[in-house]
Amino acid sequence: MKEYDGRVRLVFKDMPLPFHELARPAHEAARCAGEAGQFWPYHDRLFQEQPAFERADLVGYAADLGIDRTAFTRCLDERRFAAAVEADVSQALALGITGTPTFLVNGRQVVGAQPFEAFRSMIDDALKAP
Amino acid sequence: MKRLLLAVALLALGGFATLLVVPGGRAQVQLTLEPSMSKGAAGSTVTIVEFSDYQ
Repeated sequence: MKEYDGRVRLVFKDMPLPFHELARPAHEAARCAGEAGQFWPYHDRLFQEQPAFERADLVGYAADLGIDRTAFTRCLDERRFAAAVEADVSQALALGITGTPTFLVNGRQVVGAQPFEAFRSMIDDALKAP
Repeated sequence: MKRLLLAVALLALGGFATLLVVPGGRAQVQLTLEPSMSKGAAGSTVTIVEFSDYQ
């Protein structure tokens, strides 16, 4: 991303798959971390630790980042971001997206994990477009 | 690879932004964007939206 600084924006959208029973709480937890200004560090930690997403794990990862444990736990228990996560899933399904990861590069769909070079050519094409 | 047409750029809506995408020229799908879950300048030429599952 650094080489495209100021020209490329990355937006993360939640798409917990239905057969991953620990995924949805993890997605809600990441948004709780985001409320504390720690979305990306928490996001990275979840990918490092998958699939250790029991409640105690989720709270522990937040505490490791210095997020207030009481506030974070309240956020999780209230399921404050359940609707937001569900909205992301609904939007994905409306776009015909059923698997992860799926990327939209200026609307051009890329399915599955890809080497960075695959993105580079699409990004460079998009930057050249009139 | 399925091509989607970007219809409208980012609109600021009360702290959230919205991106409208038309899949194959059919119905519009409105994507809500949470600023804390994005990296890079809002006015970037290229926007990459990633739908992912942590598990």
